[in-house]
Amino acid sequence: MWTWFHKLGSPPWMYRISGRILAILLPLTIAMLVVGAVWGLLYAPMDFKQGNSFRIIYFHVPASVVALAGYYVMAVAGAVSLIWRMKMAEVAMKCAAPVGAALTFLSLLSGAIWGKPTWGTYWVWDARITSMLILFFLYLGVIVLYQAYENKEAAGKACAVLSLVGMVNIPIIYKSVDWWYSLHQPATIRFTEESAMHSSMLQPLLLMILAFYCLFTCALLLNMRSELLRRGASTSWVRGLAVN
Amino acid sequence: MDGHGVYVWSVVVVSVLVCAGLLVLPARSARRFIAGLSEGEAPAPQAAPSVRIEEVNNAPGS
Amino acid sequence: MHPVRKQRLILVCFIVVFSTLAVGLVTYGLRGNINLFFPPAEIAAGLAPTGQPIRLGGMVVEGSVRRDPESLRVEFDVTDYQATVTAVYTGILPDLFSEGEGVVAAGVLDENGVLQATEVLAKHDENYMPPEVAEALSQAHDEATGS
Repeated sequence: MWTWFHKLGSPPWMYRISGRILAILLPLTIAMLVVGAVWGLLYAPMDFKQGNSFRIIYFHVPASVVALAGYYVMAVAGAVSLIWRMKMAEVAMKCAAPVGAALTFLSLLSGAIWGKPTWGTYWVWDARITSMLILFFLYLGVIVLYQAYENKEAAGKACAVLSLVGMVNIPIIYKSVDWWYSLHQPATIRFTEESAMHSSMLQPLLLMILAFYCLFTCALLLNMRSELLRRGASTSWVRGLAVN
Repeated sequence: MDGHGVYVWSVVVVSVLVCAGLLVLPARSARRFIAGLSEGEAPAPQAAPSVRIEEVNNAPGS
Repeated sequence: MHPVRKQRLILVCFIVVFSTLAVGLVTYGLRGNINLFFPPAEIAAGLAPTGQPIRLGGMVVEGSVRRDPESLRVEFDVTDYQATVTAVYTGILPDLFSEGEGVVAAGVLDENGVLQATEVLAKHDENYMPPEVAEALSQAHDEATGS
């Protein structure tokens, strides 16, 4: 168990393994994204109330779900880097932030575009949307905070603390539509009871959510590889890559 | 798509841009770094990542 | 576990618990302000201020939408099944606005308890289904109730 943990902390091992994972996961992710998008956009039936505008759900919901899950990845990596001083965890935390920020941005933008034909407005300051905007600023905060420090060790610590403090926002986003009166409707996909969506529409949505989870993993690994190369610029394993 | 096409397709375009950016930008940055190594240039370890992060964040808006 | 790491673990737990408590207390204290709208029951109970912008949210009562034939003025009742408030609005309603559906109307409550709305938003629910399924469901419902 502990040898595995130590291997995980070794940059050349991580670089090699992530390359092997990506060789399989990357084509799979792209295939799932294409199949899910075509299925949702062209083959799923339209909604009885919203018509075709509901198809935005196939991008909005996966981006939102993974943006929230990605924050946990970042915060847990931050906690591990604080407690065990593990460099690899710090790299993971730093590299998860831009991916999460991009997905949160996609969630906010697609939600705004969806809001116009359904609600009649692009933006409203309700609890769900505002807390999602705070999530976006938390991701941006981690990115900017890391850049602000000259001393990268101090930067890692500060970012880990910020991401841990921001973790409280995630359950708030999840429960905001149940706790307060909001314009945003409650969750459609439920774990304890039947989802409030017909299966012909739900199946492509579940595929897209899975595809976005894989997309997050791929983007995180790609970012980490790039970061590991730069951090190890003077080490022999990176120099060895140049020869090949 | 009966009047909703503009909304749906603009979301599709933005999503494709964001997804492609998330995968292409870090892959390209790593490839360039390795290419720089082979040419024998001494790469600057800290200057490059900051550029890469800005690129990732600018990608969806562009 | 190494005592130094244990200490750091406790510190991490402390950060999470403390920030959760702090944010939890703030949101609990501001819970009234976080709500986007007032339900009709709270307006009927006099909890909503008159003469300043508020939002009213609920269901549009079936058969209550009265359109002015000469202008875009429309009048409708909003209910939460405990109380009903009337709203007046002049302008184009969102596509999803209809009787028996959710609505959020922003405006000022006049002295008669009528909301003079400046903006009307449709609030849809979390149910999605194809048109054929919706039709079959409503037919089954009609047969069951015998209408």
